[in-house]
Amino acid sequence: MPDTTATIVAEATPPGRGGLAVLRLSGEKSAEILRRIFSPAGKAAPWDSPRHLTFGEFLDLDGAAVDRGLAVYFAAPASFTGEDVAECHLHCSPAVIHAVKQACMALGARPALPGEFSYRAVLNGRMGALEAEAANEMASFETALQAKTAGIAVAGGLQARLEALRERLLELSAAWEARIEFPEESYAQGKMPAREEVAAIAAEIRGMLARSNSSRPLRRGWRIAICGAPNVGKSSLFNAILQRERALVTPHPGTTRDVLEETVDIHGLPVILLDTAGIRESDDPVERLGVEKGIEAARGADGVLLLYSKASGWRAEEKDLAAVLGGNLVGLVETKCDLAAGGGGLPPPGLERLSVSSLTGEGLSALMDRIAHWALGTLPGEAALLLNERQREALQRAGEGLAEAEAYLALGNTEEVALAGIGKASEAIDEALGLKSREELYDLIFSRFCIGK
Amino acid sequence: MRYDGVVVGGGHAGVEAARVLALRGLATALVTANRRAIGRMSCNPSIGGVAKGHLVREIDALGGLMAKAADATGIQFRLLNASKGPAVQGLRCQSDRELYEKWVQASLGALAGLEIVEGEVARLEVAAGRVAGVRLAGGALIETRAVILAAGTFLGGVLYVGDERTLGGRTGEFSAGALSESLKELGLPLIRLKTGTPCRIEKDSVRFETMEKQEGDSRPEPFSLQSNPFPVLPQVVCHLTRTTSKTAEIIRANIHRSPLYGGAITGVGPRYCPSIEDKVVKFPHHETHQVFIEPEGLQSHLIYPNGISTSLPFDVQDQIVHSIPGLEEARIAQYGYAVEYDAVDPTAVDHSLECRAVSGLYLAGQVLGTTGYEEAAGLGLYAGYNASRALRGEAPFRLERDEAYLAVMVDDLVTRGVLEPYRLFTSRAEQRLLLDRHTAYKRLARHGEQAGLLSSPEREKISSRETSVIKILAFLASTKLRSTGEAPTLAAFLARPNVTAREISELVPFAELNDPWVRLYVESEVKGAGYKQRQKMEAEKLAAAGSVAIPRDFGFASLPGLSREIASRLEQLRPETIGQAERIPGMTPAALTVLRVALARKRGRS
Ligand SMILES: Nc1nc2c(ncn2[C@@H]2O[C@H](COP(=O)(O)OP(=O)(O)OP(=O)(O)O)[C@@H](O)[C@H]2O)c(=O)[nH]1
Ligand SMILES: [Mg+2]
Repeated sequence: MPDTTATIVAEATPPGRGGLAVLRLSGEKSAEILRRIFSPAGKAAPWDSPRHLTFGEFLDLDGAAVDRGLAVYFAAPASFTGEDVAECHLHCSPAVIHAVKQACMALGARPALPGEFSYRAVLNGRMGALEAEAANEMASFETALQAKTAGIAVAGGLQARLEALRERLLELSAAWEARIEFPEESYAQGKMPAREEVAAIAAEIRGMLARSNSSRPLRRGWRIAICGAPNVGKSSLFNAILQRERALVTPHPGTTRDVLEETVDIHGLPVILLDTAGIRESDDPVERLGVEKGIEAARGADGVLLLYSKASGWRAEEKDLAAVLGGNLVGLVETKCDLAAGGGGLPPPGLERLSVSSLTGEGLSALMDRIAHWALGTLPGEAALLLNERQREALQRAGEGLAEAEAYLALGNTEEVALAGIGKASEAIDEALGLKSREELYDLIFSRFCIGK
Repeated sequence: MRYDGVVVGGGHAGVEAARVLALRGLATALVTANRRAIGRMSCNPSIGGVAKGHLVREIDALGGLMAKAADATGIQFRLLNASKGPAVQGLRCQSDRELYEKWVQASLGALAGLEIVEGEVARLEVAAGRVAGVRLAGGALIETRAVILAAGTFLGGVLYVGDERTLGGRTGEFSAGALSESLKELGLPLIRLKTGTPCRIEKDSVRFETMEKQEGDSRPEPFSLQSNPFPVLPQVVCHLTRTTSKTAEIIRANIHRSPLYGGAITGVGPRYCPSIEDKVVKFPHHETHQVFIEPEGLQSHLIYPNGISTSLPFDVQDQIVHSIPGLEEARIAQYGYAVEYDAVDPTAVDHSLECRAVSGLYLAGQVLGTTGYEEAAGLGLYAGYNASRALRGEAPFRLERDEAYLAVMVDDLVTRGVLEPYRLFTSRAEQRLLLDRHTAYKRLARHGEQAGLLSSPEREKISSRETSVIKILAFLASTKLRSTGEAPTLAAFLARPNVTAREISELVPFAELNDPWVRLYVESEVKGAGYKQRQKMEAEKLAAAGSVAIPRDFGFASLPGLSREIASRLEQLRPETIGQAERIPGMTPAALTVLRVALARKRGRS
């Protein structure tokens, strides 16, 4: 971990599309640096009245004004990080942000590492580890919707769920341990919690993991593969949506060989588009490899756009493809709608179809709507649980611990053996929560059971 | 007077410590106020239990005394948790109180090189941060280079009954107030703890016929592999009765007269050993509480009513006792009381149990914040052994947490400190499934041997049992249940629930399997093979992660990124490894990361 004495500076808002960017300074030099880069418009200066937004001009290294905006100062410890903090609300122009940041660095700040503000907040006791994780994700989110969902974790939904799990595991362990450690105590014997409780908690964890799986695209973006027979215009559509000539387009079928991948913002949602090779039987080993890769990419994607061209119509090839890839169809797209209908037939009536032309742009916005609609439809509504990789890993480990406990019991072992697995589950949940609970186990035992001769 | 080592206190910790020093060839003095009280069971006449029983067996494997003393003087033996797995089965016995202390005294008396000195230690003499000797109350000085302080509850001890308070560590004995002051002068942090004991009742006034009988095991298992013949003494029956709603009424009506609830006592008592007034107040929904009627000994005219420890005034104690079925006409021979005493905060000692601030000063037992004879004995043995090693210029003795409950206890005390008197539980061990009583000798006897605490016939007995077990395990793993067709190995068959080693003994051509010491061990190894394997792997992983050494002179305070609180805690405790640091209360994942990175950087540089 980095040294924690330096004053650090970085954007506190996600890079990108909003109208304002917040540049945050944290550390001892925050006030001093703010004095040099900000000139208040009125008499009041932010460093004299903490927590008040003040209007003024932001200056670059040479003292020239580069932007007009608001500045605010927080004195330690009443700040996000628990240290002295200054925030500059700038217009969201890369040039402005760069100039002000350079000035800060020239004055002794160093760029903050990813998550470093939260790290300091945790070190200074301003934030729980879990909230910090959620806040970090929020800062790195690219779109507004993601941030909204991250709000679930920030607001404590996940925390509450994990805490409830922890509580149940602790209750179970305390009851079992009390019987083990105090076999002569009639009250420690009490009512034995059912062994089924182990299975019930395990099921709960599986449910949480499943729900969080479905919200995964929100963090990573939805992967959508553009598939179809050769020459139907896949690469052309890919380029049209990206609004640049990313993929090679030629009149020859079999042009695309590798899978191309690009991220694009569709109505505020992160989408990763995959352009794939046209699918057909081929004698060319290189093309065959490309086709295989394309199919693999389509299978691994969250959804598929299946293309056919109006010029050649719905043929046997398309029918076969629909059978193979139709499982998670985002939409059926008729390309080259600027051309006249050729041979071939029409797709079966059950499949809704969108007509587009990459050449004229016709139908493209309807296609974007369709994609966004589909993407939102994959989200499990409010119950989505936003887990980061560490939390997911911890929950998985908890599940494994409980499975171990169940297996031990099934083999005819008594509770103390099962508790080895349950202990692992508790530990994993504690880790996800940033806690330790050994002592609490005893607190619970002695408050719950009257023990002692 | 001059000795290599001086042990202060003749309780269970002092006895083991003094014995180790003397057996290891060091001129040793045991200073006690009363030589006849050496080895005394000051509370209930019983040894062992879950976790405690494990510890007694470990003491035996290391060459200590307690297991043999308990076997020689036990009058009822039971295996607790017999229906559960071996990891949590605990041996427990009722002892003949008087015979126990006589046996221990005789055993110490036979040691060349151990002298018993009657007197009160009033001061520790320290020069340049090193122990130089102990000063007795009369003014005499005993010079020495090592002191093992095992003074029990005598440091600043105050007895409470009702609104009466007397100075003294136990009933009828004095209180070492001067010594307490001396420790304070040395800068040792003291904490105030509390314990209590019930009254003793005249046996002939008890109506046993109205009580439930509690028999011992019909084929009892001794604590020590070396005890033969066993049992030595005739075995007796214990009894069980219960308090009534009238008992609770009496207590509630008189609770204001309790020094506990009246606020006179501020020391913290162990939650697992509550007084009867505590039980009634904290668990009002329980109408009755168990009272175990334990014999004090074969010849004793007293019984010990286990479960009604109290410090209420005498007249209330009379009423309480008379409200219990079978005790309606009981005569109290000695009233119950509470003791408040000073203990040294155990984080003031290192993993040798040597004070960080005063070299040559070792602590063990209740002065170190523990409770229980077994805990005291284990710590006495450990402190004594470490002191003897230091005196002989040898490296400190260490045990890992996955090796012994003794190690779990030492590490818990030293890295975590205590808020209440510390008692061992099986659940305090991360890998308790590895620490069953059968494997104690395999885990620890080599240390006892190295220390020279095991005689050669004892070593012979231990190793011949281990050899038998290895031989039989190999046979079971390589032999099929039937010679024809698809058949499981004998080991796989024995691993099944409900199959016992007895059932397959005819198929095993080794007579040793009939020895219960071997049979139970084999059974436990085979049935637990799966989970033991797993715990071993986990122990190794933990050990690898925690084994990163922290240099002795590591500057925690100058480490950027640590909160001041954590840094000063680390400076004070000076953990030797990352694993120890991790177990310190209040450590955060972030702080550990800071520490890990700093250590890695330091390694990279050097
Ligand atoms: N008129 C018209 N021509 C199009 C349209 N889209 C693509 N084309 C033409 O169709 C041909 C093939 O286009 P690509 O985009 O390379 O087709 P593809 O599906 O990627 O082909 P492969 O990579 O070979 O499988 C090119 O000559 C394009 O100019 C369209 O909307 N209208
Ligand atoms: Mg193409």
